[in-house]
Amino acid sequence: MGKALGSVTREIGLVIAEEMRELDAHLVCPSSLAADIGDYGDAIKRTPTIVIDGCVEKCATKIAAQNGADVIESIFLPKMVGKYRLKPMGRYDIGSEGRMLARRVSEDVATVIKKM
Amino acid sequence: MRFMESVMEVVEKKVAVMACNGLDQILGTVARMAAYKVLDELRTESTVLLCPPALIAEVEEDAEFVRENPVLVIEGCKHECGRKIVEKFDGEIGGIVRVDMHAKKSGLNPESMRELGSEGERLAELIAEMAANEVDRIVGGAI
Repeated sequence: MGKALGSVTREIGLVIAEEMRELDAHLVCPSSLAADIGDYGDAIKRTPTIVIDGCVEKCATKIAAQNGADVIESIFLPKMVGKYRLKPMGRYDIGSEGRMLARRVSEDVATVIKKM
Repeated sequence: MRFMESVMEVVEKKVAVMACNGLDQILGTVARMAAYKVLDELRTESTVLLCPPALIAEVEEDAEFVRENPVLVIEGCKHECGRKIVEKFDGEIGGIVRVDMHAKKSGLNPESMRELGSEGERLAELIAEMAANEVDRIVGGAI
């Protein structure tokens, strides 16, 4: 939550969930997972999982490992900033470059899913 | 000397603010935005921001925030995931602000998770003001 790239990872998840419905991808809410709400725990054990990390702490990767997820792809967002040369404005409002970055990475994720 | 150390300890006391950050529903986004407003605009000196994924992943900095500061949780809904997470890490809950309850009372309807719209922004402001008052109450109780 503290960093702009964390907000971008959130945007990526929401773009995929809301605009790329044909992929049939489901967003895992880390808070609900940790609080044992819903069936996220079972779902990530039985479903191929893509993790998107916003910073070097790699919390998404750690949480996936804690829950026995089958991780098929890991995206490290700071590297994507370098690849696409797009930088988010801030954590409250990621700005147009942040939204463009989210869009590009969403398309990368879509490519991974379509290849499955 | 010990008295002054105790006074300094109390004066430096901060409130750790945790927004549930729920990805399941719109009010999780309102909670998130409200938390940013408290930290960045309303109570910059007396708060620290907790990141739920970092706490769950046991990042030391966030674990330390929870050990050392009372936590104000801004919850999106009745499930109160934020409270459950803090309690898992033996944190002290100083207060809870429930977005769903105040959304109902206010009649304000956020547009979507990615774009709150004017009513959603107004709701986030209201929640932030309530949360800021809770911060004052929690800090005030320490003195």
